[in-house]
Amino acid sequence: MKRSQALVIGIGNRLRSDDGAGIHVAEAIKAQPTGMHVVLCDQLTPELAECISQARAVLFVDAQMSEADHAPAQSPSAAQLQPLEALASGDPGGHALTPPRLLALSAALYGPCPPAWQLLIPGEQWHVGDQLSARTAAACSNALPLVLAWGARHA
Amino acid sequence: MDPATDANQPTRRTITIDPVTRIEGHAKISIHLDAAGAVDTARFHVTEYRGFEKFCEGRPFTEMAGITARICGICPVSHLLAAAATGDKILAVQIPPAAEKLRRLMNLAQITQSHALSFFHLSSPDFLLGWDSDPEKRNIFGLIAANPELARSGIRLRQFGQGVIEALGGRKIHAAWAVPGGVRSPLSPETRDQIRQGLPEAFAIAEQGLTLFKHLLDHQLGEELEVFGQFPSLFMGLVSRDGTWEHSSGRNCGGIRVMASDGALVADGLKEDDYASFLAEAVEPWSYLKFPYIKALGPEAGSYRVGPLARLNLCERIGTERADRELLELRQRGGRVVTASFLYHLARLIEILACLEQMEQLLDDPELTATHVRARASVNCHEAVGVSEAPRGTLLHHYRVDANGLIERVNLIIATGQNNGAMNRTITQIARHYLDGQHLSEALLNRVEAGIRCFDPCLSCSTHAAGQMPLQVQLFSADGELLQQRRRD
Repeated sequence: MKRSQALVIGIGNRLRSDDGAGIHVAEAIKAQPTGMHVVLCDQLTPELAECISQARAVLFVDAQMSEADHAPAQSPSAAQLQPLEALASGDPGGHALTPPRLLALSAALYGPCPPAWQLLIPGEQWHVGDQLSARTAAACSNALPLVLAWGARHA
Repeated sequence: MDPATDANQPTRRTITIDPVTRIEGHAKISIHLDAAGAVDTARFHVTEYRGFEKFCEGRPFTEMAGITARICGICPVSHLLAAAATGDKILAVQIPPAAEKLRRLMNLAQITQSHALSFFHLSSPDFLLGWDSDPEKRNIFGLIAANPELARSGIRLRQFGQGVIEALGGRKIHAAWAVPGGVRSPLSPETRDQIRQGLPEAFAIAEQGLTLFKHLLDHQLGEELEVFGQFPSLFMGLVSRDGTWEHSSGRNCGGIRVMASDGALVADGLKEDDYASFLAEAVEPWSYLKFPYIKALGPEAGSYRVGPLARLNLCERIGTERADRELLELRQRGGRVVTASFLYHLARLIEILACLEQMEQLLDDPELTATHVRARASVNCHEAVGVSEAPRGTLLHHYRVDANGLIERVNLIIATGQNNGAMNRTITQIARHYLDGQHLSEALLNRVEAGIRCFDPCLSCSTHAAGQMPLQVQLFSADGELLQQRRRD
């Protein structure tokens, strides 16, 4: 990526229905001439730390369980940009790398990391399948203008 | 770590360990004392189950590479290649030479990135920060504080391996590229040249890791060599036809070799198709992880080790200049057959060097960019076994299919499972050496964990289980009373 580009990281598994929401949104952004650098990944890995360190701003786009597992059910339009802070506690080894820990890793390795946000897309179906539920597909559509506006602010 | 102790019951203490330990999966360790209060045995319990073998039933065999790669995010390529090799046999085809070389290239990249993660990120905090350092800091962030250049190097080396996988398969993780009959797409000369550009830095990092670890072995890790799983056992893995280091089943593969600690060949040229005739799996009620063993020798004498140390013990030589020099040095340090499990770490670094050298050779091979990369056929065999050397050891996939190619039965024999007996022996040895009375000290726990990490176990694969790796250590008296427990979530 070019230095000082805005970076969008879409996270998810396209073969687990709504878990692929972050990938769907990121792919849609990638298909447009936005000037943003877009990365798609199944999971966050340490190698992304260097890429993050070079970005002007970072946006993580991921699906969010919205049933009993986590927060109360949200409407499709409830996807919101939330600022993120680096979190250096705990061990980031192995599979369990979260956006805050990845930001901390980037800061520790390469110096102050750029401002970061996350955009969580409410999901409801997590079974094997390559289709989003209607509700999550709508949430992805609603999320696109948010990402584009975010990118414009950090162009 | 903040021990919570009940002062009124000094022998019944519950102590919680936080944070997460650095292996993949869920596990528990129990240490059992005898009547005299000495360590009788220690057990590495794997307490999760995922059932991939069952839910693959009914799926087309052509999907198996994609499905089984999902077992793990660290070593999906290993399952991808073993599944594709099994699929080749169901089709009864010989894959094009370019496809075989491209698969080898991807496996070399996979071994490189997995070993880099194991050494630089998961294990080096132990060596560099010390066994008794604060576990909150004995991780990658602590490593960055102590040696930022090493931490960055580890990430760069892993990035190189992942980049090669992505260049070949289109994705870093779960690339659905190897298929029955070959691979989906050839390698362009431009992409080959891009891969080649990354080699000099990768070599430099591998040499940096070797220099550092050998220095530590010479100056401060002597006791670990003797206590962290130092015992005779069998070793098993692939070798090539001429006895050199091998990681893939292909035209040059000489089959599976089994060697004893004294260098005696127990078996050689074994075919993966016959694995059921020479391997058996014992089951214990306290773990989902099975205990494979050489059938003819029984569960005790037939217990064996696989993985980087086994591969280096089994081969006559690696076949590349720099790695062979390091192999010679390893044997000067540990003998012709190295039995110290702590030297798995050194073996990983040597294998990284070997992988890079073999990649360099492959990239110079004009056949690598040939465009015929897939042989096509329909179901010609109804049962097949494929094998590949995963970073952690020998991986076997066994499928039976019906006339339509739908899976009727699956058996997966995973590297971590094959090291199960060795891991249990290792933690028993460490517990016997370091247990002070009936107290689970920090020093003991750290070393028990590190003993497991010598084998870089991937419990996501071996139990086909997902997730992180909370660790629970329990200490039991001879009559089964729980004396103490510590936990990291």
